[in-house]
Amino acid sequence: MVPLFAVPSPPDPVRVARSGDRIVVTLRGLLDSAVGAALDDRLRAAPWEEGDRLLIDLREVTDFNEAGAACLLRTHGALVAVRPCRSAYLTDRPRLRALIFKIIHGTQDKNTRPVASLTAADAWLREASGQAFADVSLDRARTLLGRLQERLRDRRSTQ
Amino acid sequence: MNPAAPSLPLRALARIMSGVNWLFYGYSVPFMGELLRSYGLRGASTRGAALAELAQLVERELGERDAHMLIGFASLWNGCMICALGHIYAANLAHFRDRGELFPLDEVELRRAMQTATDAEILAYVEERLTATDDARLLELLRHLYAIKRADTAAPDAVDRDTELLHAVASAYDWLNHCTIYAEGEEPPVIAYSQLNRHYRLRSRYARARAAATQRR
Repeated sequence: MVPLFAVPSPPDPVRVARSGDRIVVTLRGLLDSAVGAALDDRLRAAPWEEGDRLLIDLREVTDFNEAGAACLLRTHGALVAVRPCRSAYLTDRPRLRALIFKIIHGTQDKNTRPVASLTAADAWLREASGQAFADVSLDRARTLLGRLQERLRDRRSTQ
Repeated sequence: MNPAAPSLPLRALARIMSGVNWLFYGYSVPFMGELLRSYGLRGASTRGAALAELAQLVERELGERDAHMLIGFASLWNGCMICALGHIYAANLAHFRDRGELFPLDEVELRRAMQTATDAEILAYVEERLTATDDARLLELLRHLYAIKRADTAAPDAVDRDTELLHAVASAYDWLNHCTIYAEGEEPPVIAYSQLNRHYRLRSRYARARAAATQRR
């Protein structure tokens, strides 16, 4: 018998899909222990293939609690140990970005970075370099510092 | 999620380095131990020196207030409260010292925003606060920095000075924030990351003015 008023089931807080050479995981709502555990299960069961990249989309995550953060750290640590792959966490919240920085630093993962847009995620995931985000950033800052100093010297010499 | 406590010798070294930092720059940083743990004494010193050189260059080019404000926001988009609030506080002190009035971006409000708001909401807050002032130039730089942080591509060759400066600041703090965020607790202290940290009277006058303004709102 079909119920007269079907109660819609709540949206799945963890969705996993494949897009080309990417596993795309989308989380939503509050990142707590339940969502963290579901993420762990889904990632283990995901249809991984050699050379896959991982995009974890947190744009629909509104916040996290301590238990959720601990779950994400464990899951990410297991991923780094078992299936190291180039990955990006996409979020539009500074608080969540801080959590991702902590996880990357805590697991010393060279393949992962937080990103603020899909454009930035695409650029990072396409990149073949094995250099960590922290090292890439420092190298870039040093190169630019050199260019700026040169520009300053040129300006002084023409004055 | 708490970082592992650094060893005793590392803690001692961090205290010495913090003291040196205080002597030369006017403040100590709470993430010195993590920097040393990650890079060792030599690595932390050379990297730290490059960062200080960049900060001085940005300050020479853009002025004290705007340099600190931009460094603060480069860290804010990364979620690093220690660096974001420390540099924004330093910018606010510089503005208060030079003009005798409060700058409209309150570090306490920004701390709350960093805990709850999205990037777009924070940018909207900044735009709303700065549109009413005569700081169109700073607002333009902050918008430009935001765009760089979102797209996050390498600076192309032969761009203008401002774009290069902003890319350099964004990249430098993308590096540093790995350590600083890892070392910060839930309620990190707000320390002015400039020589103004030593100006106790200025800080005290600023605190009174900010408290009065908050009460009036």
